[in-house]
This record gives sequence, C-alpha cells and structure tokens, in this order.
Amino acid sequence: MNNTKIIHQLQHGDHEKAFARLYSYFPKMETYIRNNSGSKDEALDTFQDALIILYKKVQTLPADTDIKVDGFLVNTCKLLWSNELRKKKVRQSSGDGALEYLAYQDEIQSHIEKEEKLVKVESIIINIGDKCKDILVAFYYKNFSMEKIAEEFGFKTIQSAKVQKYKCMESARDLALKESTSNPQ
Amino acid sequence: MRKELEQIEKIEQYLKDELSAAEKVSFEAEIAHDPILQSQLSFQADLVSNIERIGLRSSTKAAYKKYLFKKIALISAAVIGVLTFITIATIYFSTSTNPPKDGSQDEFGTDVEIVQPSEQIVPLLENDSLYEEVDSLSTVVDEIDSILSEAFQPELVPLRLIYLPENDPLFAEANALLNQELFEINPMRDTVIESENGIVVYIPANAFDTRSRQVDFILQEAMTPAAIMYSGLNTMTESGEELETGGMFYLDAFANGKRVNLLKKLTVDIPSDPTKTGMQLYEGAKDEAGQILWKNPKDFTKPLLSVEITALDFYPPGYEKQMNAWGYLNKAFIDSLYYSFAGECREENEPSLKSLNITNDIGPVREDSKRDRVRSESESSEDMLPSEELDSAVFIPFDCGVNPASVQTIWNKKFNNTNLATKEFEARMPWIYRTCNTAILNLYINNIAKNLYEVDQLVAEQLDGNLKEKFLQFAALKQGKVETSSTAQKELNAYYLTKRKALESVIKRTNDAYWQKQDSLDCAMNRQTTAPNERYISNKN
Repeated sequence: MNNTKIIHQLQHGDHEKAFARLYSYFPKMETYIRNNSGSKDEALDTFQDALIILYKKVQTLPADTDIKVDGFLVNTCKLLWSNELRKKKVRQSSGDGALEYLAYQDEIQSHIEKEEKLVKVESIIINIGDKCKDILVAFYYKNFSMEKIAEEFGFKTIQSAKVQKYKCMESARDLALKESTSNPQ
Repeated sequence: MRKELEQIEKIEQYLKDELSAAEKVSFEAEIAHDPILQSQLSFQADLVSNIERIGLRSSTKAAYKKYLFKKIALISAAVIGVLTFITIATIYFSTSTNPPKDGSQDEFGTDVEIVQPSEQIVPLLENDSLYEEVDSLSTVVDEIDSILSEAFQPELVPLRLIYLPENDPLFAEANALLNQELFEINPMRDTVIESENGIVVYIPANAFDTRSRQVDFILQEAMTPAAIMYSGLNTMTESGEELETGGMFYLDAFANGKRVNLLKKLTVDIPSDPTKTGMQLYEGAKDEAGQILWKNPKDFTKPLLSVEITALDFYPPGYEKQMNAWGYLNKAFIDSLYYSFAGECREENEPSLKSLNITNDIGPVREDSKRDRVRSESESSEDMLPSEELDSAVFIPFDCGVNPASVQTIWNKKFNNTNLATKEFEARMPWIYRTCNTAILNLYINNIAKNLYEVDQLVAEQLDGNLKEKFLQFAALKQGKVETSSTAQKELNAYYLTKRKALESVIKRTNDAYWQKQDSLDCAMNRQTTAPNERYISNKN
C-alpha cells in the first residue's frame, strides 16, 4: 500500500477512500483484539478510533515529513486496546507488560487523551437532536457553505439557517452546562 | 439575532480567525476579563472538534461499508472477464416465432461456441495479499473439498482475482459487479468445473492457445433476476427485442496475465427452468455505450429434462411421508437421519450384481413387509430386528441394500444437469430401492452418459420378475439423456466416486466419534449407577 498516496488522500479531503484502503489492516487487528479478550464490535470501534487518530495526526504533519501509516495505525490500535483493557480491568496482573514500547507511542498516547476528552462532549451532541447534529456536521466537518446548508435543510434564507445553527450550538452549550451542574464530574 | 447567538457567532469568527486585527484584540481583551466567556470559548472549540470527530466517525463507518463491499466485489469483480464474451445467456425468447422443433423444453446450453476475443493484453492486478483471512468453512466441507481437489485438478482459488481493466474490450460493468470464481486449471488436461450456481463447464485438454502450464479460468454468473439487475445487465437483443432470460454468465481465461484464445469448444451446462420453452443461447456483445446486447441466438441440443436435483425425491419409498407423519418436517434433519445409515453399511461389501436374484414373489413382498415395518412393529419376520432395537433402526428396513452414501453423493447440486437430476430418474428411484442393491444405482451412475433407456435395459438384464418387467417398461419409454460430452461424463463419474468415498469416510468418522462420545458418557453413567447396571448385565448374560 502506498504510504505517500494515503497521506495525500488523508490531507486532501479524500480520507474516506484512504480509510477504505486502510481497512485492509482491519482483519489483522480484529484477530489481535479478539485474541486479547475483545469482540468483533470492539475491534471495529477500536479500529475506527485509530483511523480518526491517524487522520488527525496526518493533518498536523508538517510538510515534507512522513510517517509510516500502517505502523502508526497498528500501534494506535494496540495502545487503544490496551487502554480499553486497563479500563475493563482485564489482565491487570499480566497487564501492561504485554505491550512493549511501540513506535510513535508517546504521540499516540497524547492523541488518545485528547480524543477521550472529546468523547465526553459527544454525548451532548447526540442529545441536541439529529437535525442539529446534521447541520453542525455539514458545516464544520463537510465544510458546506451556509447557502448549501439552507438549501439542503430547507431553510428559506441563509440567515435563518445561520440562526438555526447558532441555536443548535447554544442548546449544546446549555446541555453541557446542565450536565456539569447536575453532575460535577 | 439574540445577543447570546451573536456571541456564539463572534466566538466562531474568532475561532475561525475571521475577525479583523482590531476586533481580535478587543475580543481577546474581553475574554481575559470574562471567565464565563472563556469557558464558552473553550466549550465551543471542543464542540467543533467533536463535531469533526462525529463526522470522521461516520466516514470510518462508510469506509467500512465500502471496504466490505469491495471485499465482496473483489471476489466477484473478476468474474466477468473471460475468454470471450461468453457472456452467453440462456435466454428465453419471449417473442420467439420459432418454437422448439419438438415442442419439448430445452434446457441446456451445450456446445457453446466461444468467439475468439481480440488479441488484447489484459494486465492482471496483483493479488491482494491483505485478504488472507478467509472464514473457514465447516471442517467436513473442507475435508471433502480437499479430497476432491486432490483428485480433481481445477481448484477454485478464492483469494486471487483477476481484474479486467475498464478499457478491456470485453469489460462490461457487470464484470466489476458480479462475483468472480477463479479456477486454476491445467490446460493439458480435461477439466470439469462447476460454478456456485451449478453451471458446469467442461474444458477439454489443450483447449487454450497457450503453452503455459496454468490457465486461470474465471467464471461470473448472473443466474437470478436479482443478480442480473444488480449487475446492470439487460435482456435486449441487438435488434431491440426483449428477452426473458434463464441466466447469464461470463467465461474468460488467462495465462500469465494474458488472455488466451480458445482452440476447442467448451461444453457448458446451464441450469434453467424446465418449464420454459423456446430457450436459445445468445452471445453478448458490447455496444458503444458499453451495454451488453444479445445476438446470434442458437438452439441447443435437446436432451432429457434436467431439474434441480435437490428438489427431487430420492428417499426410500415411504420414508419422507413417514417422517412427516411423525412430525419431522425439516429436510435437513430428515436427510441427516437417512444419510447417517451410510456408515453402518460401509463394512458390508456391496453385493455383486449376480447376487441379487430377486424373485417374482420376493421382490414386492419384501418391499411391502419393509414398509409395513415402518408402520407396525408387531409383524415378525426373520429379518426383523429385535423389537427393542426397532426404534433406532426403523429405517434400516432397506437393509442398506442401497447405500445412503451413494444416494447422498448423487443427491446434490453437483449432479444437476445429469441424467440423475431428472424427473425421469426420480421415477426410477423407488424401483431402484426395491432392488435392494446399490449396484443398480451404480449402473445408472456409471452409465450416466448413456441414454436412460439403455441403462434401463442393462438393469433389467440384472433383474428378475416384476422388477425386470418394470425396468423393461422404463426402457420402452426410450427416454434419452442429459446431453453432455462423454469425456465430461467420465470426469463427472470420477468426481462421483471420489466424493462418495470422501463422504463415507466422513460419515463413518462422525458416527464413530459420536458413538465413542456416547460410550464414554455411558461409562460415566455406569460408574455413577453401578448397581442397577450390573444387574442389567447379569440379566443379559
């Protein structure tokens, strides 16, 4: 698999294609995770998290530098899974010794920690409703223009689409606020 | 816009770095003094990256679907590139003005003449070693397959695929969409391959214009309306008539990555609906738009009507009915019970043909008494089993005269498109059971290439009395055969033999393992309940 090509795809909005190619590592990781007290679903989740981390890593990659995409992905999976196992308190005794130091380990760990923080906000977004979520995803992830969003979601004017978007963000903020007051965690 | 919303907008502009330098400075000053604004800012930043994460998540999921699809398509994709566009379809010509000559149903496309493809080099893509992990089939199937593949050379290579490039003259979109079955064959030898859907291709030795010792033969098929629609194939002839198709398929062959020309005719048996009349064989040709249109309709030879073999009833007379009466309706169960008797027959040598002197009176009478035994356990006769064993042995009434393993071997799709997969043969089965001899069945199997009436004659010569009469009557019907080339037939016969052996050994082993387990369980039980059991043994003694 062509490393440079995948990095290029990841950096230029073709990441879905790159992901599809990278799934060829999935069977290997699935076996790894299933051999380490995981299920197929967990393997898929972990692998998808690893793809996201790889994606973000590649976005921040300085020009003309390179990483080994496959090594990074595989090691991310392994680290994610070992974190997961630690959370599940499985094989604590034999535990961490099982993983030796992996290439990119520190970088990967810091990415994992960032992602874990984000996951907390995720539950909030789920609660603001599908339409809100879709609008926000269209704007922030797919980089749709407000015109396109207005058209796609059936708003009469761009302005009303915009207002709706901000309202969605506001309700997310209110939800987060509510959650943090009711649950200081 | 409300003030709160305006603030959100401002934060967003700040995060996106859309504020002017002056605005930025003043906003940053504002932030520095306002802890609430600070937390709002950081929340909003988190929110945005989280939304990105959600989007990425769904991308990874979409990519997974693509990957799965690609995996399927990979296996299927190569299917269409073939020798020729033999995307030949057995097509039903609904508007046909020339009905088949004798009004009977045609069903095989045989003697397909393959059009020579233009000399085009088709680069093969590397096989993707990434798809190493294949789910393994059940071990028994694996084992039988491995025995068969040792004996038969065409090997279905599940992981390697040939990709037809889109500029290939034979490429059609369907090639990329349909499953591909790739067989590695030795072109120096006669080869029979069977597709998943029962298309049987007989490839004579030296059929390809190559000196290579290996030819990759690929087969793609769209035998169901769903597959045809899925692959975007149509049923239009060159002249714009609509056809009703019985299925379409594509054959192609490559050696060392180059398409090889065909020097000899291939024989292709295509399963199709026997109730359709007027079927003809069409060749596919690509028009400028890349659509496959059908042309050059040909009649094919009209043999015996072959049907889907699994739809036939090859059980001993009365067996299925009785099982149903007892409430066993599941075919898999009924099958497996019946076939399980095979292991018990195995030690006995098959009686030679001469040993079956079934006389006028014994023939039918024996049969009746056997069938009665199924119903009533009270009747006594010398070959009856002791009544306490009867429950488990009710169906041995056939005395294993016809080995269930033989029946199992022929009663599967591999024998579709043979004389055995015909209603005519089904009609003989009850009488074959009545002969109580596997050798009779074997006559049909070994002479699978002969006309059915000829075999009837052979069988009748081995029999006496009523049964002889019956088979003579069959012979008088002058029923022909399912047309296949005789060499192909030999291959099929060999296939049958090997498969039967494999089946028998697997059945035997499964039985043995089962009984071993049972024995050990019994032993364990005995140990627990020693006393009563000892009593039983002493009683018996």
